[in-house]
Amino acid sequence: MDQAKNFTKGFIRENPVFILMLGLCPALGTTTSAFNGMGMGLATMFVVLMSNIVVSLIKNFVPNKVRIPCYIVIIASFVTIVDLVMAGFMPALHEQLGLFIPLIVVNCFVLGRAEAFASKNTLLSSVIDGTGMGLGFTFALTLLGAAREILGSNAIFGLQFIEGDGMLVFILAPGAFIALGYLIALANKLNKQ
Amino acid sequence: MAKRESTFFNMVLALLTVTLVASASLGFIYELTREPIEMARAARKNNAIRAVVPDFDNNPTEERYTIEAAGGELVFYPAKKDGELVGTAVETFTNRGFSGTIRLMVGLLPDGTIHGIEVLEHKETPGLGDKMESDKSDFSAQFEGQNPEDFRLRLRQDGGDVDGITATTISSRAYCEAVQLAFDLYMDKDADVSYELPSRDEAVERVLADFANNPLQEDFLVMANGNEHTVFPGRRGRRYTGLAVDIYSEAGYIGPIRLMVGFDSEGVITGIEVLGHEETPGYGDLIENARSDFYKQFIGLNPGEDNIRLKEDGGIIDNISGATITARAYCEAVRSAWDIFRQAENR
Amino acid sequence: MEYIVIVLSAILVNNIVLAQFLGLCPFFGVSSRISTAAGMGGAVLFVMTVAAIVTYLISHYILIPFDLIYLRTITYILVISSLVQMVEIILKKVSPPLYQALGIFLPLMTTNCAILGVAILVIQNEYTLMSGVVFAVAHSIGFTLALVILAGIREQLELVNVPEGMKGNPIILVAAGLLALAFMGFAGIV
Repeated sequence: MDQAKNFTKGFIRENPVFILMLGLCPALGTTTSAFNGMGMGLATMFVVLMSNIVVSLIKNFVPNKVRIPCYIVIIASFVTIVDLVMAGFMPALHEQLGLFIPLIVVNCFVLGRAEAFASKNTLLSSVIDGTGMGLGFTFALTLLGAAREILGSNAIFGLQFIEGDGMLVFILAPGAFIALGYLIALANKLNKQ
Repeated sequence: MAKRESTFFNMVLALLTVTLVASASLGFIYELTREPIEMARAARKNNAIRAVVPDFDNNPTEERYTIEAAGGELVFYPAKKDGELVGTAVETFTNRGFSGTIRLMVGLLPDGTIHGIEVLEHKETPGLGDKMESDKSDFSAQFEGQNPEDFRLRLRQDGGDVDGITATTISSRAYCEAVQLAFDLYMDKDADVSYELPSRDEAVERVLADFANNPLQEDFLVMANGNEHTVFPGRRGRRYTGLAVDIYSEAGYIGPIRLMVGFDSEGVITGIEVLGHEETPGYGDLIENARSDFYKQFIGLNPGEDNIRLKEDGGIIDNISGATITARAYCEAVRSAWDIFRQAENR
Repeated sequence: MEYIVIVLSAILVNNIVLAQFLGLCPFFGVSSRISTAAGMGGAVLFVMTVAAIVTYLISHYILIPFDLIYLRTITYILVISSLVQMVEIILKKVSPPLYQALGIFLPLMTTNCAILGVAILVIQNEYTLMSGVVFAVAHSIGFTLALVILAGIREQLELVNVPEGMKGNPIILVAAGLLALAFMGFAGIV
């Protein structure tokens, strides 16, 4: 398999959020700013990467019938690790992301990578796949966060570039849906070309 | 290695291994992160306290007390410098925000003047209600230096002195309400104040200076002056390091005063906690550790050598003004505790 | 009174899908027909309530007493996935018609973050068991409401001439956004 292609597929062609419509809950729930989106993306990337590595290593040890419970336990462990480490060392971000950190465990995209890719491929491919897909997810969340922050609070990564309030609706729930809708339309257009 | 068959044995083995490794490593990570998590939590609260009161050098969290009101409880963090109260950070709340509970930390100077306010928690609309946060607008700045005694904590449209946040009347109104509640309870000394006294078990751990055992499980009874008293020995290994004595005096102004007095192995007082009393609010209740430094003058004294009596009775203890009888009873209890300490020594 | 506040808040003000962004996968995945949307809603109601009760008991009688809160995520997700399997098996035996109606939705339940999310929220909000059950039922009603409304909109959308670039997911997301905007009107009623 072409590893370069394997790595870049997560950005646009098979982007988990824009194309596959997976992991939408954190994608909408945590992207009130570019920074929050990036934090959530990186946390998820860590879980995808680590669970891909472990699943790929033990794929032959685990019998077929119990593979899903095993994968879930592995993913849940890494999620808990992220949760604990963030609470200890990045308390402000941890509070912002809140409920969505434990919910990484039910992010269909994470289990999807373990089941569809890591359980069938070599360690190296799984590492590259996990990193690429994780970065693609981070990219999507940061982009969505940035779009909402620019429109909603006239700022990017906390830096205000126009005085005063932006279009508040983009920070609120409805704006999340609408912003993502237009970004998906954009990604579709890019994919067609 | 070929893929394993889905036999019963293989399935159980795989599941068991995976869960064992997972929970063991999680336990390990939990131990590693426990301290940073606790520190981060404490730091958050301390930062809020630091932001709203003048410079202090004590640990306000350790000396906090609570008052129940409005269906919840307010926490008071006294900030002291050189033993003198310089301000109190009050953790107050209201359930009348636009989207639910708002929690504030209000810093009050001893006379009730507002020194600063920080928002601890709210769910108000981003871009509107969240302007109550001090870094998002000047709304909270208008309270600084104002004394609610003559600064009416109501919005201008409600006949008060507060400029509300545009388009956010409900949030602004709730904010004022929470500040008012903090002020009222702080100033109202006669309110039904239930300062949280330590439980007996907490007190034992606080008054003993050095121990590695669980003194609560090794308690025994000592007879003294015709009464039985419970004592809790502190040990490190087999070495005896001190004793906590549960003692009371009947000579209080209104009723009995119950103390927990801690000694080291030499008989030097290592700590005192008030377990219960019925003394007058504002006067006799100053014997409580959270309310004054009265107890501190006992620490380091040895009742065998030092005269544990009020100065007017020929001793070395400073009185509490307006509460002589209470202070005298307190000294008496400490002296009886020492008698019990000596009795227990002989065992 | 407390229950009324919980119910109104869960269904209208803090709608689980439109305000809290939980359960979005089924929200977009199974909302093409009103009838399937209602079926999914029924399955969620059932699983969410049972899951909330079971995880509540596990938290209060195992995790908290033994100071094992850090195993919460891992235990909850295992309990929920085995619960879903069990419900599927029992339903198949006990009530074939109900299984016919809900069966195909059950396997989707494990990765529905609304279930795990509500289970965690019940513990975080320090509810009693009864309030927790009311909370779970109300949230699943809120979920069903949002799902059925969106399905209704999507059935209408099929008849409309949508601009080329917005066809498919983008227009559905924008419609969901407008729906969320409408629900924001309920803010402040409790």
